[in-house]
Amino acid sequence: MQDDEATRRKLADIGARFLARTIGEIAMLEELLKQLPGNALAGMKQIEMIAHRIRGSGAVFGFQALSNAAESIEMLALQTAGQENIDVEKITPQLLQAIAALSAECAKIDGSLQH
Amino acid sequence: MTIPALKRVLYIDDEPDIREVVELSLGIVGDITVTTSGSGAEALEIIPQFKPDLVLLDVMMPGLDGPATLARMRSDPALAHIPVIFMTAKALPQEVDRFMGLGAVGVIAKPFDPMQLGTRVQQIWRAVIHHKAS
Repeated sequence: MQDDEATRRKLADIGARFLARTIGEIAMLEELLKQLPGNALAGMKQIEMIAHRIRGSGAVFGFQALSNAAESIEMLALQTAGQENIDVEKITPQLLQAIAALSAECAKIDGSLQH
Repeated sequence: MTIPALKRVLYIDDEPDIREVVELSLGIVGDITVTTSGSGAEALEIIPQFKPDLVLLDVMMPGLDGPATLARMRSDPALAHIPVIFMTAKALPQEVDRFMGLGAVGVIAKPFDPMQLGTRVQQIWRAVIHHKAS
C-alpha cells in the first residue's frame, strides 16, 4: 500500500494535468459555439458532454469553483435538449459568458499552482 | 466467513485523468491490479482477457454509455456474473434505484474523495460476497 502523502502529491500532479487539458478544452468549447448555427443539436450535445466531464473531474480534484463554472455551461446546454429549433442567437452570449467564467477559474488555479 | 480479497478491478471512464485517479486510489487499500478503459466498447474486448473480479463503470460516456455497457455484459453468459458498480454524478435516489434495477451491485457518487474511494469499493465488494454466500 502507498502512503497518503505520496498519494496526495500524485493527485496534485494529475490535477495539474487535468487543468492543462481543461484549458485546451475551453478552446474546443469556443469552436463548437462558433459552429452552432450549422449544427445546433449535435454541437450543443458535445458542449454538454465536455462541460459535464470538466464538472465531474474538477470536483474530484477539489477545484470546486471550476466545477461550478462547468456546471453552468452544462445546464445551459441541457436547457436546449430535445428542442427542435434551438435559439442559437439567444443562447450563444449566455454560453460565451459561462465559458469565459470557466476560463477565469482555470487561470486563477493555474496562477496559484505556479507559486 | 472468509471474504476473498478483491484482486482485479477494471475501471471504465472516458476521462483520462479520472482513470489515473481511480488507479491511484485503489492502490491505497491494497494489492489490487487495476486496468482502465476509455470506452464501453473497448472494455467489452478487455474483460475476457483481464477477467476482473469487479468493474467500476462511469455512466455518462460517448458511444456505449454505462447502462448500455452493463446491458451488453449481462447479455453475455461469459461476463454476466461480474459485479458492476456505477460511478455517476447522477446519484439522486430514483436514479440510484434505476441503476440498481439495471443490475449494478452499487452506485458511487461523483465527485468522490480519492482518499476514500478504495474503502468504499471494498465495502461494496464485501457486501457482494456476503450476498452471494447467503
